[in-house]
Amino acid sequence: MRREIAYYDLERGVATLLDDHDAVFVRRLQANEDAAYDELVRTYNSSIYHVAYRMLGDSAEASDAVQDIFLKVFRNIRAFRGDSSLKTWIFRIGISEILNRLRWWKRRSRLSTVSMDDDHNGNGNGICIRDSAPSPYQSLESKEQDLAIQQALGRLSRDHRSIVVLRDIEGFSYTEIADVLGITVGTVKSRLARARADMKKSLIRFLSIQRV
Amino acid sequence: MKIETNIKCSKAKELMSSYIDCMAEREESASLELHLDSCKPCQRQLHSYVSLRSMLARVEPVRPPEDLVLDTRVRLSHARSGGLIDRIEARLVNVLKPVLIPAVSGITLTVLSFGVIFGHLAMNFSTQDLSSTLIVEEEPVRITEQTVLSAPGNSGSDWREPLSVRANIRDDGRVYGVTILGGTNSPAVKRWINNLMYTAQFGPATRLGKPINSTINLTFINVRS
Repeated sequence: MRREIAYYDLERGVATLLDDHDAVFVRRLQANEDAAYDELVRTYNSSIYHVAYRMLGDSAEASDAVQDIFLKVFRNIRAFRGDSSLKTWIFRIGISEILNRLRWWKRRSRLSTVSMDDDHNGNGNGICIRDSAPSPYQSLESKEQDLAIQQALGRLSRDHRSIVVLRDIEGFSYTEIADVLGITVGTVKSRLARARADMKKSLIRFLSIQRV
Repeated sequence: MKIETNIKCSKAKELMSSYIDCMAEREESASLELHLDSCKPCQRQLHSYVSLRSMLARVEPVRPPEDLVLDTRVRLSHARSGGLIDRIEARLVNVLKPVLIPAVSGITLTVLSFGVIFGHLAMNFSTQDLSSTLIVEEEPVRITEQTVLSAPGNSGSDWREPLSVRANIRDDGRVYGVTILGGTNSPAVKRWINNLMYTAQFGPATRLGKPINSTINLTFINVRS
């Protein structure tokens, strides 16, 4: 009975906010279908991990966060009414979980340094800039740049970091960011402007500034 | 549409972020573009914003650990497969299993051990009781073959058949019981044989050099001279 009500509510939301694929997909998730959950993990695992890693700066912590996020998606999928896209809803849960972890860290003063452990250990989990055949110099420069980006992100406040990661690294639209973070598009603009200004200061030596 | 024609650099910088994402309002974009036409520092600033956005956009996604997908699926599978009752049951099993198995094993072993010990003790007690009973009923512990003796002439009895007698002898060689097994069993014969046996002294039987109770079977023949 409860499931039918959820479907009914979802049906009403489908016409406006969920595309056909998402609507069917959400129904399969709500029906606890194995294949649907496999697809969910396959589809969102990498992007959620990437956001988590950029926000948390630690591979193990990001992995834990990803698993918890998927569990929360499972536990809340029946309550999903289709009032946003599935991706937005999932990232809303994700960002909330990540911010909770950051708050937990802050309370325990663990956020004193930004970990780039994976990158420095060379296990392939670090950031890399696209380059088909990097020279040793380029590779070194790239790693240095990656480290600088992560450190610059680490210096931002949690709110600003979320916005930069979602917008400039994950390519979310302003509207999606507003939905995920529960703020207005105007706030997204102003926070992004301040966050980018801070990032620019931190990364100034890597930026090619055209002489005019 | 009202376009500000003379915005300051600070205002221009505020608009740059939205401008490079094409998210600035049309009037704001127009004002910024007018300002940029005449402000080289702000042009450089704008290029640095574009460069920053380009640099961040080129950052490749961090590859998740290889086992993350599997781990996530396993955790999801556990969460999905168990309802509330199943979860409580699983929790109980997880908590009790490590405790119950050793506890039951320990109790069983203890009961078995005590069972064996008490059983052994009980058997010893009953054996002792039995043996004490047997000691009473054990006598005689040694029975001789039939021995033929000649009755003395003064037996005073008129009996002709051979007289078979069983005598129980203590470890000190004295007789403590006489039974007439065969032959004349008259009171006179009985009196005579009792007088004879209870006053006799036998060499007791021995076991491992120690005198023990025994039984001797005797047959008397009346010999007339």
